[in-house]
Amino acid sequence: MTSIRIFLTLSVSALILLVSFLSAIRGFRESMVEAELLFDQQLLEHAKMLSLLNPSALSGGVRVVQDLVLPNVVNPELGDEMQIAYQIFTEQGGLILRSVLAPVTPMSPFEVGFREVNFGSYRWRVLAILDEEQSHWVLTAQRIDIRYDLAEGIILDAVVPTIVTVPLAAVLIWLFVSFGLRPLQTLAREVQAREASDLSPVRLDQVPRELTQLSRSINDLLRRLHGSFEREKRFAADAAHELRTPISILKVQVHNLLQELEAPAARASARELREGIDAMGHLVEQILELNRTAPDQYSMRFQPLDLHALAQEVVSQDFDQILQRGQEFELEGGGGTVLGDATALRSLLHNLLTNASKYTPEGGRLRLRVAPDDHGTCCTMEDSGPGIPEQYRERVFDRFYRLHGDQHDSGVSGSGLGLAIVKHIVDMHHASITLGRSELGGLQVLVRFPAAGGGRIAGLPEEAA
Amino acid sequence: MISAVIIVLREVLEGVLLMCMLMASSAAMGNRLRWLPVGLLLGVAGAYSYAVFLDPISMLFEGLGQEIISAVMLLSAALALVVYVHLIASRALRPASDKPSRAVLALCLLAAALSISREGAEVYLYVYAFGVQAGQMASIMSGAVIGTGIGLSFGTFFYYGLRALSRKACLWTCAGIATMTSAGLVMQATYNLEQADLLPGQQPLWDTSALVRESSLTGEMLQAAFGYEATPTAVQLSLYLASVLACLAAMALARLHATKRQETST
Repeated sequence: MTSIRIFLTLSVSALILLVSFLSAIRGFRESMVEAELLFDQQLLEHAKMLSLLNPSALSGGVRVVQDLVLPNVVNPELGDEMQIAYQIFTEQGGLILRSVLAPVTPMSPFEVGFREVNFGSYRWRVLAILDEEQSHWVLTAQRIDIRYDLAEGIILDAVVPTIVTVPLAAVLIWLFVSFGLRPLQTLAREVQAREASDLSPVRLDQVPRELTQLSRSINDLLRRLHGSFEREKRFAADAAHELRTPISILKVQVHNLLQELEAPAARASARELREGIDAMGHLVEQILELNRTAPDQYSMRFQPLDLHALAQEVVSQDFDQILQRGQEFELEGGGGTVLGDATALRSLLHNLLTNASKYTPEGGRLRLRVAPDDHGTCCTMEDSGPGIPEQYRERVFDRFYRLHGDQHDSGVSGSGLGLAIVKHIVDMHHASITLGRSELGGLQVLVRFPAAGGGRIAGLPEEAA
Repeated sequence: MISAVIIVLREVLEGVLLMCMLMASSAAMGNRLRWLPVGLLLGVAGAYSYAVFLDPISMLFEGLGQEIISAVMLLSAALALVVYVHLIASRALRPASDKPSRAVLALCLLAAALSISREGAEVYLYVYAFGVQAGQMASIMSGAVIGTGIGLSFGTFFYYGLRALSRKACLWTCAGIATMTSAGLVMQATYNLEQADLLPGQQPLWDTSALVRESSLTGEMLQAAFGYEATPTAVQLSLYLASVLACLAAMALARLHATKRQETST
């Protein structure tokens, strides 16, 4: 995956670096040419100055004098090495005067102008001028390597800051690009941080022009998604609700039929018919419950609740079923405050309890324990039934999934929705659910609720928090 | 300073062109660039060791150690590139896949480490010899930094240019670059082996110095890209062409495999 920030930082930095380094090279070369002209100018001025010495007045053989030393104010490290060697000859070529570094032979041919020649183990730039009034040649020379070093030393001082500032520019570019990309990150964060149920449009007031189209498309998508959810919600609720009435009528009719029928065989068929209608009624109720508890659609009213007290309430309602199946039941623990929705938690406990009873053989044992622990409140439902093999423990939370096609010996049919409803409610409360093996030999369902007020819960109103 | 810029730029460009080709093709083949930091680290360590132990290395093989080891490194990198060309061509002829390949990772790592070792050692030795020892630190270092900067800038544009191509175009372009780079490496290896008298020194076949001098900026850049030699000998030229042919054969082999695969599936 490519990064816009890395691409922009690298390409802009590379462009700046290329342009500034290429101009540094160009500047360096041009400055070197300028420096050469300056040094040549220096040679010319010294040659002219020497020609004013009136060498024809000098007599008595060749004089050897000190070289001209130019004070080096720019680069003192080079000291007085910038020396100018010189010679003065008569027009006929007789040496009159020379400096120490200059040889006894002419440094260059007697032709007016600049030339590069070798002598004394170095390469020199030599200027020859002819003073026609005084009739003598003046030759001045500078070592080329020293001229180059001096010029380079001066020009490098101008180039180095360019080199040093480029990395600084790269850091600034990184910061500016990060700043420029901030609206994109903000938009991504806003979309990511939304609750599943929050389908309200993204605010467009602070979105930069480049992101307006994207934001509009997101809002359009959210609007369509919202409509789709609404339709699904209405359909499931309406269908389940509409089915309730005919099922109730069927139940009454079957009851009446049973009263009227006298033949034992016909009564047995009618009982089976009643069981079928009861199962269908249960299924419709469960679908309605599943739809109500879907995290996307449930309108929650969270408040601090005593989960143990709630469990007692649910047990008293469902105790008939346990009693009918001759099962031994224990309710343990005490306390355990949970921040949650009372209706949803009642449904969770009811589903856990009836599931355990349904899948445990008659005369088996059930145990429900609700107690606070280190991290919040723990609710454990255990039974002595067949349990759920490990490989199926993830799948049993799927809607309409029934282990071994619901082959339990309870005689009560299952809809395959009980654990899906439990999972919905667990998710809604930001709790966790784990299935395991119970000490009683069957299934252990462990639901852990976060400490009341310890964490943020989806959809929680301010006053409840 | 200008000569430092040119010399360092040539070495950096040689390395950068290869690295960009490896990075772009590796990414186009669905591999992440995890080999890159490891390759860089190995390359830098290799360059430093090679430069520091240059004296004992030169003494090996009766004083021919430097030429022989350099030639072995160049030929290994060239061989890795021939195999890599085959992999690139195979992937280019298949539908896009994000499945990373261990062979691609290993070859990228090998080619990157060898290339950085060699170019890095040359830059290090140049800077050390002319900068530190000859007392021209400011001038040589400035030149080296400018040369490296320009080389890396070109590399950045080159890499993003390759990435902007479609997957297939990127892979075939990379295969072409790998072919030329591999041939350039063989050319340099041949030169080293001729220096060591392991290959016969011959009269050059032609001299294009008048057209493009090897030491000119254009000459240095052409050398970095294609292994340009103004005065090639018959041995150099034939090995150069043999390397190009090997890469073309690697591509043809990939096409043959692809055709067979298609026939089997239908």
